[in-house]
Amino acid sequence: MGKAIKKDLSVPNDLAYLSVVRETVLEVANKSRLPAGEAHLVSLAVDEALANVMEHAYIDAPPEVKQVIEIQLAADEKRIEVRIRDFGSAFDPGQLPDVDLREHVRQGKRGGLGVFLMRKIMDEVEYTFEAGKHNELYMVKYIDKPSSKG
Amino acid sequence: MAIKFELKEIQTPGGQQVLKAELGGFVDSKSTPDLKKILDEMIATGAKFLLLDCGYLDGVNSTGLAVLAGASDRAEAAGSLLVLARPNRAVRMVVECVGFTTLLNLKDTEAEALAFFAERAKKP
Repeated sequence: MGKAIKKDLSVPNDLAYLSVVRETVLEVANKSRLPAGEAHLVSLAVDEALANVMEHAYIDAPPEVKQVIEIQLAADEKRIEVRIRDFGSAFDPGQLPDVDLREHVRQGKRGGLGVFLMRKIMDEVEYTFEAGKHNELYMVKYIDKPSSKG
Repeated sequence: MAIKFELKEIQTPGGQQVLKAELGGFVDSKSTPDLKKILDEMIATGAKFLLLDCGYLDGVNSTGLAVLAGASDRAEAAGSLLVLARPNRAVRMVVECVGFTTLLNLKDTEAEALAFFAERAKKP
C-alpha cells in the first residue's frame, strides 16, 4: 500500500494563480499511480473549476468577504480527491444543462464548457454550500476505474 | 503562464502560401484573450491557409478550445482553412475529451498539415 499524499493551498481570487494550482495538482497526481495523461486531465478539471470560481463567485462580493480560494488535494492508492472551497456567491454547476458543442461554438460562446469538461474527466463531481459561509466543490478521480466517459 | 507566439510565412510542397503561428505556454482563462487576438489577426490577413503550430503548447483549457473552434468556424466562413499541427498528448486528449475532434483540424506533424493544405488547394 502506497503512502497517502495530501496538499492544501490557498490562493487569491486572481486568474494569474491558475498556473500555480495546475502545477501543484500535477505534482500530487504524478506522485500517485494515475497515468501521466490522466494526471494532466485532472489538473485541467481543477483549472476549470477554479476559473469558474474566479470568474463568477466574487463578482458581487461585499468588501468584507475574503477573496481567497482554498484547495485540498489528497491521493491514495485508489483515487485522487479535490476539494475547492470559496466564500463567494453560491453556484451549483450540477444545475447547468449539457452543452451542444457545435451550437455553443456557432454562437461564439467562450465559457460554459468548463463544467462539461469537469464532468467528463472526473468520476464524481459534487457541489455543496453553507449559506453565508462557503461553497465547496468535491471531485474524485478513481485510479483503476476504466474510462467509461468516452 | 502567458502564451507566446511568432508569425511566419511558409509554403506547402505545392507552393501554396501558408501563414504559420507558433504557440507556446498554456492557454487558460488568463491567456485566452491573447489567443483570440492572435487568431483574429491571422484571419484578418485573408490568408487562405492558416497553420497553428502547437508543438510548444503545454496545454489548453475549455475556454481556449472554444476560441480555437470559433476561429476555425470564422476562418472557414472567410474562405480560409485553420489547421492545428503537432498538438502534444495533453492537448490532443483534451480535444478528444471535449469532443472537438470534428470541430478542429488536427494534424500530428507540420508535413501532414502542409499536405492537407496542398490537397485542399486542388479542390475547386
